Amino acid sequence: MKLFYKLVIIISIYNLSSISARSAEVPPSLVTDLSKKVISINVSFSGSKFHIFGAIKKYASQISPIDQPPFDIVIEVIGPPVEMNIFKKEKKYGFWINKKIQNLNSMPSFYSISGTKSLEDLLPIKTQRSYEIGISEHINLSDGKLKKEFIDHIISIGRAKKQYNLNNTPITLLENTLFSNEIDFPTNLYEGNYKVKIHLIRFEEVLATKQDIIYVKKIGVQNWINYLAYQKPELYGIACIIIAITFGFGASLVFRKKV
Amino acid sequence: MQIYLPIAEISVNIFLLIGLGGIVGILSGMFGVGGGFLMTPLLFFIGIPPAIAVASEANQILGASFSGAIAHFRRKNVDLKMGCLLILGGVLGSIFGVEIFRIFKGMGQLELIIKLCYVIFLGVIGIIMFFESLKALSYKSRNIKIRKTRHHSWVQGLPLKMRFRASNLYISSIPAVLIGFFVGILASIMGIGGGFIIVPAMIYILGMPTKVVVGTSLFQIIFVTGVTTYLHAVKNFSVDIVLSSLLLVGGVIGAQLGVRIGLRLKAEQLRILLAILVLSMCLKITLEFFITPLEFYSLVRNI
Repeated sequence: MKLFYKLVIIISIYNLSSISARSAEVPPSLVTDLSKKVISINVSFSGSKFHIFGAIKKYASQISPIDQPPFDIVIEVIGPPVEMNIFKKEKKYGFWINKKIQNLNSMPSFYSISGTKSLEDLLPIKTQRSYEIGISEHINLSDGKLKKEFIDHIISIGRAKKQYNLNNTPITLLENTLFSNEIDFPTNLYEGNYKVKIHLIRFEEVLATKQDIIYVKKIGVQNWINYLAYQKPELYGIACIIIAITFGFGASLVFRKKV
Repeated sequence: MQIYLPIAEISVNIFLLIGLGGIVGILSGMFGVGGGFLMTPLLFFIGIPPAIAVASEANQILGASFSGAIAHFRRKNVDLKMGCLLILGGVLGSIFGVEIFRIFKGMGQLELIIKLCYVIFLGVIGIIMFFESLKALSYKSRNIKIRKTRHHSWVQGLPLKMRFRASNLYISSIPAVLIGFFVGILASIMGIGGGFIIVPAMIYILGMPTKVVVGTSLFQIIFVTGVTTYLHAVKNFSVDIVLSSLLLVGGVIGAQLGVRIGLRLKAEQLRILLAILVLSMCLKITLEFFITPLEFYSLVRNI
């Protein structure tokens, strides 16, 4: 049923785009939507999915077959930034120990990129940088000079934890207009705003970028525990003590009757 | 069924946690040991970050020891005065330990420190247990000599003497505070109750009568683990209440089963298996130090 609704919306957008304004010099733009605006994490959270779908809104002159080279789409999902310290294991006195390398100013807690083609094929590095597209644009080290050395390691750790998805299945652009993309969220999500950036690309140029937000929040018991543990740690500590004692006391009541 | 642990920030199978709690509970019920030194390394092995494992385990021990402490308290098997001295030392030790914990966490060496402590602790306990059970197996029929070691001479010579009526002792208060202090550090860095150390220390160093030893050590453990839980929650944000509650559910049931199994089977003969388990856990953690890691780099969140 949900999918049906999405189709209806997409088709109506498509129709709208074919008959829209005539002005010849207006650049194409994007019409997009997300299947969810909010993702809730509760105690039984085991990952989540959402869809990004949209259409390229073209104008009269751009519709004519001669003037219609294929468009390309790149979709980025960028989680709220987190501050991390990076460590490297080094062999010392015969065994492997951590050595602190440096502070990271920020890195996205989640990152996913997908496109009709891979980003390297679509945009030269220089353009990626000027439009801030690509994972390396979102990782900031306190010492910028060291970036080259560590960025690959940071990305590979992120990928191992399923927080960074760089090899998603390519997006297909139906009729050079319609597209949709499914994003898989892992279980280890941080709370906050996740930016969804959809870039429209042609001839190594970014024609349009649309940004949307999906909000991930912890709800129910989960939210309470997090709030208490980080905002009211004194209260949380006492609550932990009381809960543990209650378990112990309860157990002694239950089992004493049976013995 | 997966459950999301809010502080550890990972999803774990709920039955795995209850099961682990249950198995360790059975072992601790059978052999009369606290489960901390078995549970914490098992939590490392299933992927719980060591800092969270240690702090949550301290909280679990509080719950697991509470019913035992009440039972001993009712039977008046607790030397309150001695217990208070041990608690005094324990609380100071816990404050000290949590501070060490925090410093090493900031340096990124916490995992190393916790694991090193475990290698030493499990190694020593495993070896002692192994040889004692071998001895018990071979001398089964003979009478085991009961060592009657009342307080050592150096303990006698210390100042600040106090009278302990329940233990029928007149000794210095310094060794009790020191023992408590040491166990408090262990509780906060390793997530163990420390019954393993405090019980022999009370008998051989302080010369307390065995009747009050277990009750008094449980009395001390619940206070020290309580303070440790609180300090870890406030200073390190590392107590996962969902984790410790699930372990408790399995643990309390397991412990009751374990006591019943222990009464039927000859636990002495099985003790050697526990020793082997402890030694193999020690070996596994040790190997991790020497095997070339798959990933050289790691990221630790800045809180």
